[in-house]
Amino acid sequence: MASTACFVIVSKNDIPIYEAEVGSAPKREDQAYQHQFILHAALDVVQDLAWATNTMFLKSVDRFDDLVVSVYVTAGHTRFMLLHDSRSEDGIKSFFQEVHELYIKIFLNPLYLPGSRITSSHFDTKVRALARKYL
Amino acid sequence: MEDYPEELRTPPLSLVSIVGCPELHPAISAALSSRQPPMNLLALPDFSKASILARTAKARDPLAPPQAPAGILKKDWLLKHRTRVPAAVAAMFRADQVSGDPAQWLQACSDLENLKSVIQGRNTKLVVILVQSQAGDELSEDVTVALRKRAEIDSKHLVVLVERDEMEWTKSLNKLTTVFAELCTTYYKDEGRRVKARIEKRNFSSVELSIRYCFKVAVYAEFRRDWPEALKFYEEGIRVLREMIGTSTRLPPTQRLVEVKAVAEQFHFKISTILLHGGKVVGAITWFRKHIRSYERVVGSPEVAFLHWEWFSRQFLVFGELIETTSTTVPDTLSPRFGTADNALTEWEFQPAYYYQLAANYLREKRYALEFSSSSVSLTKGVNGLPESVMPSVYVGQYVRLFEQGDTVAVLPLSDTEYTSYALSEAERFQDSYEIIALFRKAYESFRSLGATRMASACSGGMAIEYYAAGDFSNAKQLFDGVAGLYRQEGWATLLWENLGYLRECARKLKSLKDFISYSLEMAALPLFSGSGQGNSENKRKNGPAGSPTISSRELIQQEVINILEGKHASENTDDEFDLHLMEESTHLDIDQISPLRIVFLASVAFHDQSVKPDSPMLVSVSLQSHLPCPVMIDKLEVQFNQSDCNFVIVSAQEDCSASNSHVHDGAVQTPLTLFTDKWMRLTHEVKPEWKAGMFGGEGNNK
Repeated sequence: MASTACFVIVSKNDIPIYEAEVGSAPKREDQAYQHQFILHAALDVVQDLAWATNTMFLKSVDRFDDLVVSVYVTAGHTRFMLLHDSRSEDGIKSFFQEVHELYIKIFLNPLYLPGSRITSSHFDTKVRALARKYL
Repeated sequence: MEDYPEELRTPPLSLVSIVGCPELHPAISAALSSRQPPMNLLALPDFSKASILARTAKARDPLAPPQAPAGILKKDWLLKHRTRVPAAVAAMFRADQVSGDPAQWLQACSDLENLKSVIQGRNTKLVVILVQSQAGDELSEDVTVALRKRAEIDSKHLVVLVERDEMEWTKSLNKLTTVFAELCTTYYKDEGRRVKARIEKRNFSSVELSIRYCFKVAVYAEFRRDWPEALKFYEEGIRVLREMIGTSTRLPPTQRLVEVKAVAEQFHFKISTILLHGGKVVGAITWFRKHIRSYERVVGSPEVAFLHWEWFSRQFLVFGELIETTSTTVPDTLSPRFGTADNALTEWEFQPAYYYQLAANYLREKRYALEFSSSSVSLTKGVNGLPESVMPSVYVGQYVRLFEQGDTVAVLPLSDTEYTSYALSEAERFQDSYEIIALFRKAYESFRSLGATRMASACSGGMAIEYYAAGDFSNAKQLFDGVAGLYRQEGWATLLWENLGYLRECARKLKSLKDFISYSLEMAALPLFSGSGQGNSENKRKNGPAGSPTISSRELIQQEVINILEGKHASENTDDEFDLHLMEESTHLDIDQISPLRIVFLASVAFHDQSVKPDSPMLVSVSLQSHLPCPVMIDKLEVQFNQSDCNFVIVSAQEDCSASNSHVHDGAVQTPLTLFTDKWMRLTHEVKPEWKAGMFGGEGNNK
């Protein structure tokens, strides 16, 4: 189980549409800024790397202190970004794949505007459950 | 890296010495320098100067027990072996000095004996050089044999230089340099083997000597250009060094850490240099990461944590400079599959800018720790006072105190309290903020040239925070504005919140009321994720002046703005930051299509009918929406058209309008004007035909 992790979904317009502090560490609001700061800066690498490879899962694209950024890029160029400490790649990949399925269900909702914020509490609950399961 | 001594920054070159015949030294020195690898020459004009090569006598009592070493690495050992202790010495004679009259021969023999006695105790190799004017001048076999026996050298180590024959001179000079190169290799190999034998036999009494021996073997290997061997022993030395943190008791705890880190810094610098100059970029980065991981938690006590962060920052700075100066080419296959499977390297780790921005971040940690140390130690400063005459010791990473008593000068060890006071006073002399800004700027320019706008923006934000900390609010505001633009464009609300918090305080300090109100309203209206709960007060210094983006924070900000606008703040405190004169005038904010304040207020006007007919009523709807967290009470709402005759006013019903009723135009309407968060308020206003006809039908009125 991770001591610290932050998960952000970034739309193809580089706008974050979902954000969650996941992990077993006690929730610390002041860490959220630092975590998002790292993820935002990591978008530069993802931008180049996403076109250089044909895999959706980009592991360890960036690091800061002990924190590593892993990214999952969907076909529509939405990016799932996870900030974590060192851990199993398989768990992270499975987490991304299952969140992707949840995201597709949100996307299929005709009332959901693509690129807008995901405000579904059901989605939020599911994502946090997956984080506890895989991360 | 420029702070490191020259002998550490450059690979060691073989050192040879020549004694006698000074007029020929420049030519020989040029020949040695042009070899690959080059050799350094220690030129001594005559034999009376040869005593400089002598070994300083160590009075060792054989009966005394082996004394514990006072340090790990002697500071001058490397410099000594590069400038004063040659691998080979050449005694240089002219032919007539050895084949002339017996007095000259005896003088030459005496000089040679003196030279041999000087290098006694060292493994320095001896060469004899004879200088002939012409190739035809044949030296007798007896003379050369006698000279060789006197010097106790091999026949090939007696070199004859022919001075006035160009071809012969070049050939003999090449032979001389070749002999020198062979002897140097032999010397450094023998010395390395001798010290290595002590390591293998565990023939040392302390762990300090073990590390010192590893360093010596590695340096001797570097002299021979045996990079794998040098690397192996540097790595072994740094491994043993890491272990002695928890075991050594020679120094007090704080000074022990300082010494260990200083030595580790030297070892790692050597490792990085060898790997990078050998083209092994991935290995160098992997080693750097290991180095950082070994020491990042060895902070020491809180009073001296600033020393750790200063050291830590320098590791990143020096490594970034090494990567930059070795002009390494990033491997073509840009895959995050470098390094081990568990610790893949990222693309940024090949860029010097990555290390510069981290160096800046850790130097900021030093500033935080220094502020903490200064506040805690200042309470006891009067008691301790500052130790006088503190200076670096002859050992790497150690400090001592000079003590003068009459003609005697003694060197005394420092206590940890004394050392802490000294280190604190030294650190307080420097202005870290501007060093941090320089590092961030360096990284910023590099990232921008790479097209990494977000990393460049992160560095720009780092610069701005340091300007803010140093009290330069104008520069800080300019940089924060640029960073806020990117966060607005990309919708990263959490980062924008932090940025606006700084901008608000800059506007306050710069007494810019309009900017302060704009930034405050934007903060209050920022859409934040629902996960934001009640923030705690831990690690307050990590956050900017905005604090956590909670609902209560935004409500406080909105209330502050309203208080300023209503003038309550000014009446309560006449020393308010804002100019009182500004309070007299109304504050005017423009909110247009591109204004960042569009998220604060939205206004929409709609006509109910497609056309306007004379003598018919017209309906106009005005809709307002506020995203501020608290309800907004509006006193008066004016709707203005291009034709000012069409303007109308809506007055709040909550206001006491009895006094102003007599002045209100017939068209004025009273209605509640309270905006609730995120809810549209629609106001429908009817323009009555009588009033409207009266305005436009001037002639009719006259009738």
